[in-house]
This record gives sequence, structure tokens and C-alpha cells, in this order.
Amino acid sequence: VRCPEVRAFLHPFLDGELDVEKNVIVLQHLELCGCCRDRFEDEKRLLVRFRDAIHERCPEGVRIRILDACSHVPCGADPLPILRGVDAPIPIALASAASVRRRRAFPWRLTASAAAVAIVFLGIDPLCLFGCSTVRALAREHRIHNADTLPVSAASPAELGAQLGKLTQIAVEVPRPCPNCCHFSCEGGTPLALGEGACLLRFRDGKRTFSFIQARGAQIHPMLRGRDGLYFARDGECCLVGWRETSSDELCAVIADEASFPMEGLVALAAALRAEERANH
Amino acid sequence: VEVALPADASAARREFEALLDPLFDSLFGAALRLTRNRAEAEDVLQESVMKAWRGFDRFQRGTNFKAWMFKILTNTFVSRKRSEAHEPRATDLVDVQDMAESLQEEVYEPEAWERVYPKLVDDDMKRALDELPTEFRAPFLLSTLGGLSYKEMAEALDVPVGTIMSRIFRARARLRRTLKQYAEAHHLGVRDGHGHPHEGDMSRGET
Repeated sequence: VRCPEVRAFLHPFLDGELDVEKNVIVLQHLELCGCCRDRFEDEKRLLVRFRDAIHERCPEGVRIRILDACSHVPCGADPLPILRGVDAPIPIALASAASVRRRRAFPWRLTASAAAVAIVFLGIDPLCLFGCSTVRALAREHRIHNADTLPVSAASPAELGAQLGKLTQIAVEVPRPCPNCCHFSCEGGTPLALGEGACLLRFRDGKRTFSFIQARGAQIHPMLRGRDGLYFARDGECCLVGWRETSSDELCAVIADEASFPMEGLVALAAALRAEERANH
Repeated sequence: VEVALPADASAARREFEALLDPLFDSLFGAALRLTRNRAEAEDVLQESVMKAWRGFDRFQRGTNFKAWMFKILTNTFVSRKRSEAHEPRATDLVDVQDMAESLQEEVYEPEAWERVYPKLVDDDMKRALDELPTEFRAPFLLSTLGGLSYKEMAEALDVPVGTIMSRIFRARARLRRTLKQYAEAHHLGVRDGHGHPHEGDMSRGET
């Protein structure tokens, strides 16, 4: 066998992809041909060099966060439905199709009325092309309702931890935060999308509102700045901020999380939040 | 409030974690090199692991878990890229090029290893890899870090086995060429076209 023929097989040989017969041919040739043998060794060393160079260690925080996220999802669960653009295009498409068929002008008034009805009565943002359907589906999937909410002052650390774990999980699940959904509640007690890399989760129980924000880069979302912020703790890339909204009955907490936030620490910080709240009262 | 887990969930969870634990570093490394962005790599890794956990009941015991995980990771990355680009699938010229053409890309110099590669630092290797187009980078990483077979890579990337062979070959040839360029740029002693040592042959020691 000549060198060019063997070299055509060199990479599959290196990757262990040749059948036995061709493998033997290449091996026999490499025994005899120093030039091809050097070349083969050269290729092998190059790959080893690359493997060593690009080896990365997964940060422990990332590992813990990922495994923790898995613990809130049952094995075998179907992927959550990702519904995009269902809210907006359907009424608009129907209206425009009707107008085309009848050769009439686009019924802006009708569309605007339908949008108003959707926003006010149905809790749907018709201009949302990203997240409303998804977050509602997520809410259904995780069975988040008003009855499930836990007042911070009444919750035990374990209960709070479980609740926050679920919130964190949902924040992870929201596939594409919706820029149009700020401050827009699809249902009572649903996750709301905020912006790229951030997710707002709000729970209400009639008297209180709990809002949790999971954001990248430990930054409080700009829309929340300027309020009565109360900075509680900062741990590396994580911080927990509590403040009151429009009335004393509403309480918010912000969790900004770059890598991971230990649940124990979160519960401890929530307890600190509660103590601060009591002291202020 | 908590999501109810099935009775055998803890056993499945332990098995899943035991299989996953040794792969975290290589999966993270592959995600990092695929995305070229640490935050995005973490997202891709998390999404992949969660997908794997959800589908773990369908994983056939005794088959290659590593290959399965790398397939999921690649699919996750590819689908994210497609959705970001708002395009179904990039037209791939590589698919219509044959092996003969790819052979022309090969740059091989005898004794290159001894003169060039040991002197290149890890960042050079990473940079060279990052410069590869995704269609070459993905199979290279799946092969180098994941140890996937050509057939497994073909399934993961949804291309024929022949295309995988061609891409692997071309990826390595391109990497070799890029490293040679780096070495020349660093004055690491690559000889010029006439076989003469470069001016800065001994200007940089081992790093």
C-alpha cells in the first residue's frame, strides 16, 4: 500500500473508525514507513495538545445550581410548551384577513378594541410576541396559584426554601424573557418576564405581593431603581434586596444571581428581610 | 407546593448524578468553546442537563451516556443558534464539497510539532479553535472532548457521516494552518518558504 492511500485513512484510523481489515493495513504500513508514522504521531500529539488546552473546570456553583434546578423537575417530564406569538398575531391576522377579503381598510378601531379587551379583561398583552403564553403555560405546569403563595412572615425556612426553589426553577425555564411584559401580570401569582437574562416572579396572597427577580450580573433591573430600596446582603455575584412598593402591605425581594445562590443563604436572608420588616413596623 | 416526584425518583436521580458528575468539566469545556461566551455556556449546559434529566427515563441503560449528553448539548446549542438567527438552517457549502477538495486544505510540515506546537500557549489553541466556523468546531469538539464516533456525531448534527469525516479533517487542517500562522506571528521559529529559520527563532522561550 502506498503512502497517499494510507494517509487518506489516517484520520479515521486516529479516531478508531476503520474496520478491522483497513486497520491492519494502516498498522502494517505505519510499521514500515517512518514518514507516515511521524505524521500519525504528529496528528495524535496535536489532538492531545488541544484536549489539554481546552480543558475547563466547571465552576462548583454552576454545578450545584444545575443539579438543584433538576431536583425541582421530575424525571421523564415532558418539555414545557414554548408558545410564542400566539397572543398577538391571531386577532390581528384574523382582522387583516377579513379586511383583505372584503377589500376594506384595516379595522384599526376593531383591533384596538380587541386589544383593550384582551389587556383589561383577559390579562393578555396582544403585542407580546415572546412570553405571555409561555409564562402562563409555565404557571399551569407548576400549578402556581394564589393559594400556593406563602407570606414571608408566616413561612418556615423549609417552606420558603421550597417555594424559592420552585421560583428559581421557573426562572430557569422561561426561555426568552419578554421585553413587553414588564409590570404586566398574566395571572395572579405568575412569573413575569423582564428582559434579557432576567426574570420577575410575582406572588400575591391578597394582602401582600412577593416579587422575586433572578437576574444575571447582580444588577437590579433599571425599572426597579429609584424605589424605596433596602439593600440587604451581597455575596459575591449575588444580592438580595427588599423594599416596599406602593403600600406597606406589599413587599418585594430581589434576587440577583450570577452563578448560584445557596438556598440556606437565601432563607437566612429572607429571615433578615422579615426581621427588618418587623423592626420597621 | 413542591413538585411531586415519583417513588423511584431518588434512585434515578442518584444514577443520573453518578453518570453526569465525571462529565461536567468536559461538557462545560465543550459548551464554552461552542458558545465562546461563559454566561451562554452556563445556560447551554444547564438547559442540556435539564433536558437530559427530563428524558433520563428514555435513556437506554448500557449505551454511551457521554455520547448521549454531548448530543443533547450540541442540539441545544444548535437550536439556540438557529432561534437566535431566525433562520431554519444555514446553507452549508461544506455539504457539497468532497473530500478531494478538503485534502487541498491540508498544511503539513515535517517536524512541525517539535518546532511549533510546544511553544504555543493554551490561549493560542483556544483562539485557533474559536476562529473555526461552527460547522467545523462542533464536530471537532464532539470528537476531541466527547469522544463521539462519526455515526454519533452525524446523528447529533443531523448530517451524513461523510460530511462529518470531511469536517473533522478540514477542522484539523485549518487548526494546523492557524497555529502555523500564530507561530509565524509570534516569531516562534517557523521556517519561511525557503526553509530558513525565521528571524525571531529563539526570541521566545517555552511558556
